[in-house]
Amino acid sequence: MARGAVALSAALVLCGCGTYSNYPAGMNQTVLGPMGAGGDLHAVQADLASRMEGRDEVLFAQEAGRTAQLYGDYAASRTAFEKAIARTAAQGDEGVFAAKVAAQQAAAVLVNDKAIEYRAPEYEQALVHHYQALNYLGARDLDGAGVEIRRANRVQEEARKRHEAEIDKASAKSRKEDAAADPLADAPDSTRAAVAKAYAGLDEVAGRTKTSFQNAATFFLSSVVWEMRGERNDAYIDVKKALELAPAHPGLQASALRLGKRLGMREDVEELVRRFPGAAATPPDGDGAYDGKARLVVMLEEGHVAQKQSLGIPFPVSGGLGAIDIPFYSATASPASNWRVGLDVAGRPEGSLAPLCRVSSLAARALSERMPGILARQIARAIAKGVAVQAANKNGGDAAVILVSLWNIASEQADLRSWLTLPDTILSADAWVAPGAAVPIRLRWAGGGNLELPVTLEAGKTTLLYVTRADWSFYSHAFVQP
Amino acid sequence: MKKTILLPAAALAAALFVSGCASTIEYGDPTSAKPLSTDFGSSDLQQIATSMVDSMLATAPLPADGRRPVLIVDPVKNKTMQHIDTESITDSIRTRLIRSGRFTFQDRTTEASLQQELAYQQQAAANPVQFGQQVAAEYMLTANLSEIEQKFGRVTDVYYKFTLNLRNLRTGTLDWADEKEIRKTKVRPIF
Repeated sequence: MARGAVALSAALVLCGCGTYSNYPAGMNQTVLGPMGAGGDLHAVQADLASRMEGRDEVLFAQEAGRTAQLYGDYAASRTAFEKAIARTAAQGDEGVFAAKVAAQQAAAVLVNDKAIEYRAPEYEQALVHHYQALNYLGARDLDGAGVEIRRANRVQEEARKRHEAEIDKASAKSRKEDAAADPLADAPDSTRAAVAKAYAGLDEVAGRTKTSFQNAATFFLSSVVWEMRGERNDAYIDVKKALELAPAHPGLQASALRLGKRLGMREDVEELVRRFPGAAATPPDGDGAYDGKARLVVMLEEGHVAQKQSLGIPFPVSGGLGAIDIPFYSATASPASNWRVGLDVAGRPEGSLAPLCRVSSLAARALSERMPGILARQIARAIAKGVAVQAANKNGGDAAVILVSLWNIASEQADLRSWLTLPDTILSADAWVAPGAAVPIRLRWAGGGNLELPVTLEAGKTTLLYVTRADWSFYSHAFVQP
Repeated sequence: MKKTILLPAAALAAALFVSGCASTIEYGDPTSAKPLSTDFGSSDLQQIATSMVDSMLATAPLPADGRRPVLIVDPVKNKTMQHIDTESITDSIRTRLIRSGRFTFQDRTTEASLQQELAYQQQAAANPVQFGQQVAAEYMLTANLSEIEQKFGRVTDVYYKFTLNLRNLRTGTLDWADEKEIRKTKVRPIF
């Protein structure tokens, strides 16, 4: 009886009752709410920065870096992101079976997955470098931005390699039909069905784009930075990578042709002209058509990234009640095609913004990749808790069984942690326009609403206008090529 | 009695605890080649500056009449995945070349201060240095530092390549070039 009470109070402590441990509801209230309503991000950022330690260090460093950048404190944002980058690198250097990791895994088996240190999935790592590159652009440091862009590309390249290796492995495995690898092999049918249903929804969110492990926005930003540095060849390679992921993007098609023609990539250009006849007439870079003009690049972030939800499934254990609680992404989030935004420069229409990538798809994909591990731990946990119920039954009678069952259910919480200040979708547009100081740039939403911003455009140089819309708030940053 | 046994034991434990936690500080050899990580470090910087300058002094086709040609050093271009203070590499190379006594230098990095000083002299000095008196550089030294990283399982292989080019400004020709490679390997531990 006494043991049961201790277990229950321990469960309540470990489940955590603070605002942030009640993820993601706490984040919605304390961070995303003010972010969308034009609230005081300074205070929010300071609060997040104070949490950059312990097992959630990477997570809160990412959130703090992002919020500081939104309100324009590039230095604070850089410091926070540096912390996330350093910790992520240290995690990568830890031993394969390091004692610390093993202890966290063991704790996770006893309580829940939130006991494990937060490790940023690859799409988050790439976006950390993406935003860090913006911090360097804000400081007019093209060298620093170049370093971050190279790092982002390295993460994305590793993701691709790993993905290819996994496909090879999975096809080899499916040939063998290895039933023993199924972590739910011994679970009751009702549990298997519920998990399979949640899992199917996850694949639907992830599957809308086959490009769910690489993001075209970072490759595009990369090409913009390379062009600012005068490195056309690098820019061309990254534009082509972005185009592979977002082939319908007119701005990417035109950039690929503009650079390809200039670099004399004859075979590539023929192929591009065949695939994208609409952009075939794009003059090569350095052509007289661009003389005296400035390049305006608009990147727009829309909405909030999807949040993980938890799915509790009763899991009968011998003589008592248990539960497993798994994270999943709901498939109902709005698709990227809903965002239709027109661009006017100095009162003249310059086409519209086209989607580059959907961050929510990347998130769903990352979760589905981690799902086998999550399920394996869930089952181990259900068994461990079943043992506790049996022991209570034997030693403490009915009251103890009820208490232990309560602890089993109370402590069972899905790990819903993810970087939540990210946008849902990133769009972009490209225009070659007359230079000037305080040129009015207007974004027009098809569903109503305008945003007008004055931007400096210099002949022969690029201005990157980076706009983030979160509910009713806009955050904008203009980076003029140094 | 119990107390008298416990007390020294506690004191000993405390002593061990205190001495165990104190960090130690000592002087190190700036040219020590012991790598601490695969990042670009101070010993790599030393190695590069030394070997490149030695190679240039030994093999670059410089005037044979003993004249000291005027050189400008362009900042090293960082093409790596690390935020490296390339100004520091540039400084090390320039300092070593100056020590060799075979060149005269123009320094573009302090150009703004120089212009300010000259402008001040025109207004306030009794015998100001006239504009247009400066000696033109004959050679320009440019450099690139690039990095290739590869991972195979637990092994990370990092390859740095440093290229130094000497360009003759009168003829426009590339008179000399050399490169230095550094390779570092890291193995992720099992435990």
